[in-house]
Amino acid sequence: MQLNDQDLEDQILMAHDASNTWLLAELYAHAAERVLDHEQACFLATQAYVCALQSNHPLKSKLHTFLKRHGREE
Amino acid sequence: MSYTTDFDAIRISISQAKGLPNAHYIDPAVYDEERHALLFNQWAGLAVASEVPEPGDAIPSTFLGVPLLLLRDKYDQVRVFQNTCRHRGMILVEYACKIAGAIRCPYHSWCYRTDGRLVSTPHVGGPGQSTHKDINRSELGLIEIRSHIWRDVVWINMNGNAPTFEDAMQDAITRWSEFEQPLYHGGADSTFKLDVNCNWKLAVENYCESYHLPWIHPGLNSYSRLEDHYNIENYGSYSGQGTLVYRQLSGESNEKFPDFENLSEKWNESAEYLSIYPNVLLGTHRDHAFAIILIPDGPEKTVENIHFFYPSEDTNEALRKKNTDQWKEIFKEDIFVVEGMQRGRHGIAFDGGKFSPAMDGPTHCFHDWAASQIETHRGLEHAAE
Ligand code: FES
Ligand SMILES: [Fe+2]
Repeated sequence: MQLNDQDLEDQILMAHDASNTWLLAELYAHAAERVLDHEQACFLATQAYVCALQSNHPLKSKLHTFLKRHGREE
Repeated sequence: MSYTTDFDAIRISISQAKGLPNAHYIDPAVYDEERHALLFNQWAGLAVASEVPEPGDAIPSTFLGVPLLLLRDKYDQVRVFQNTCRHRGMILVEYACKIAGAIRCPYHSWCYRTDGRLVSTPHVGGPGQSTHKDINRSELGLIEIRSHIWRDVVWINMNGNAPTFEDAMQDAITRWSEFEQPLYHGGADSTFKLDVNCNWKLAVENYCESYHLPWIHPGLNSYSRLEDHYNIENYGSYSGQGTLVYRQLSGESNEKFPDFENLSEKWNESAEYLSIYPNVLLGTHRDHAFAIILIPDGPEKTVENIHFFYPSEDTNEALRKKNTDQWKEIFKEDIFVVEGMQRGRHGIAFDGGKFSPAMDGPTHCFHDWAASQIETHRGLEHAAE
């Protein structure tokens, strides 16, 4: 992961440590919006989507729409 | 398969019959054979539906060595899945939990809906690409185990070969048709677990007979005498005992549990106890019921999970506790006999035992059933060879 944002990366690792998938969905989604590289964005959005699915986070439909539009999800 | 059991010696009239021989209680190979013939091939009890009261509630367990996941899906349907991911076979759910959204595999994060459908396969086509032409999600849902709920018990047919539940259990369902009404689990004070060092079949056998009551349960016998009991034998599916002198429990100010509705008079003072083959022991009374689910854990170990039910959601807590405690005492009194019979079966010259033709009918009925199922299983194995 190269977010060029040490703070966000730390937050993501802490949320992983705490198994806080609700927060992870938000952090990954935030990260996906910030990266400039499209492949990176799809990777991070995928991470966010899975966490949103697991935690039933409302972000899941927006993420799904994004991924599907780019041919990354069914 | 090199086992031989003289099934003819078991499946004849009780006056001449012998019980199942030692190997059926102590030999790991026979235990494994019975796992298939007597448990996977039947409708066996796994748990009670009340253990997963709300959508998303999930409980992993191991049933006869197989990892299972009991859950209540988002549409309120109780389901049983194999707790194994369709990708690399990782265990999906490790601890009892509430599934908020999807079940995410802890390995590569494939996600399943609570109804078993595979909903996402992250990065399966490479980083950031969650689809692939060779990954057909509709074919990769969780493996569901056939299940049915009756009297709150979650019954499962592991190999999918049993007749429909209603067909298989028709006689027992009919016998207790008056009790086909809502059962309310008494909650945390109305369940407990006993670990016993015996083959699961000995727990079935001890439960279905009343011959032991005067010696093992002398307290019970003071108001529920041996002569007030009758044998119940339904060859091929269940056996047990009934009492004609059931007396309701009452509390300090003479309060009682409410009755099930519209019962015929017969039940005023009667109660019945059935061993439903293979592994569920049920009891019913005018004012409460219980289920004991036997979970075999090797040839010489069994876990008994016990649950009490009432006709109403709202029952007196102190009275419920008193009832649970009273039954617990009785069930505990049985432990030394089932464990003693288990040890007794290491006596190499024991021949399966001589039945009392008058008193051991329910036990013989169970052995007849078990022998017929194992015989059929061996015949099929033999034919396959
Ligand atoms: S084993 Fe479950 S996702 Fe790989
Ligand atoms: Fe007993």
